[in-house]
Amino acid sequence: MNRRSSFEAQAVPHLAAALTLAFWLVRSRSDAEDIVQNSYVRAYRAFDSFRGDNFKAWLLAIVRNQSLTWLSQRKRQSNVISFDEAFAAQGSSEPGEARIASDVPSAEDVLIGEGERALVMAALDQLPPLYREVLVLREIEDLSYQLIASVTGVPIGTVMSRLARARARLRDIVLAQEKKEACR
Amino acid sequence: MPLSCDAIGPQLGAYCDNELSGAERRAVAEHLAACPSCSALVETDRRLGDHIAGGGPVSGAGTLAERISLALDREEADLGGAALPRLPTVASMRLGRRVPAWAQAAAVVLACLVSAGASWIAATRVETSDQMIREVMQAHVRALLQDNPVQVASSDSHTVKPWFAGRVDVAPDVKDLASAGFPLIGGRLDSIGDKRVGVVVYKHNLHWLNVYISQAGAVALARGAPDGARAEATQNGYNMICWTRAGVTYWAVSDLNMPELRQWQALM
Ligand SMILES: [Zn+2]
Repeated sequence: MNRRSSFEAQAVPHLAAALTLAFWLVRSRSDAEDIVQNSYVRAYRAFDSFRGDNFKAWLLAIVRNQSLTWLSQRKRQSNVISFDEAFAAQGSSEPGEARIASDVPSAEDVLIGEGERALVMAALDQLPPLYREVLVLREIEDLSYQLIASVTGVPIGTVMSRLARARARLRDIVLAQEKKEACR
Repeated sequence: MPLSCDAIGPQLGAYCDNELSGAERRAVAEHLAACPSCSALVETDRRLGDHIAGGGPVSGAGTLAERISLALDREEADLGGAALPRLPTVASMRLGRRVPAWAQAAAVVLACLVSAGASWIAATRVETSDQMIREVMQAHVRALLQDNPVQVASSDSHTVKPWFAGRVDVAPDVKDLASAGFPLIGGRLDSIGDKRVGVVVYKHNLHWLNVYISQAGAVALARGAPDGARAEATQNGYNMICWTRAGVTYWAVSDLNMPELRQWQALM
């Protein structure tokens, strides 16, 4: 198998994962697609030197770093360059984008607690990017803490505590919202 | 003595994710069996997690696969094979036979521009890029001879990045890539020609990696370089990759071999 087809054989199966991660980080479908395309070209350039034991984690790390770079550049344009902002809540400063939860749900999805799912997707959208990414990598991609650690470049202990905080924050938002709707 | 809810809280998720073992696992299981409120938390988180798994995936990556395939076609056409085109080395430029100026210019254009537009072509000169490569390479060797390679020593990008504020006129991307085998060591100031530049220092095993940072346009090679432009050079056993992004030009120099250097750069 030549280099190109060997790369595609390994990389293409992770395309949905890459797109999902990029989308939940930058929250724009078209930007996410650009980022994933760019990341795949980068991965292809460096493919010969890939020696790690998990190709998916390496690929997602590139997508993740490109997405965060994209986010920090957008911040920079508004004169804020602190990387710590990745932990700050997003607020609802971008109403135009905040509601792109995901694609049209399937009929089956709608049957399983339609109301709550919509709340969860909206709550996920409000979380800071570093919380969004651990939730996406864990709940959607089903990655082990070890692999999440290598995608996000932090120790496993940090993955554990970050995930715990992300879940607590998500839970608080959703339950508060449900309470509000129940009182209505 | 069973653990309190507060003590067990941070481990509940790890327990459900099957990331605990042995005593820790047993302690959480015992607590859950006896504590309705923590059990309820776990139930809720599991339900919310299922919602994310069901509603989160972005579908329709098929058209993206086609776009990527085309992008890889272009990449291969640009590269003419596996390796990126190289900048002319200082040695080959100095000792090289006389070549017509237009051919030199073409060589640099080929070398410098991977996915770039025409503006850089017009602005780039063989002599200036040659000089720039030499100066950055010399700065790297000079740094290797110093006792202390950094002025701010930290593996925390949140410490290193702000350190450059007010010292140089750009805000460089600083990343801790320790998990990928490229720990951040710190930062320092250096000069290239008569210009002060920032340097971000990484290490890979025993190899130093110096990344010189300058405002795009402030140095000759980068003048007018469009975002995403990227080039490689080799000289005296040192390898260099330079690229421009968001108005900042990065020159990464190391004695790492080029594939390793590319692997690092792909993460930047
Ligand atoms: Zn409890």
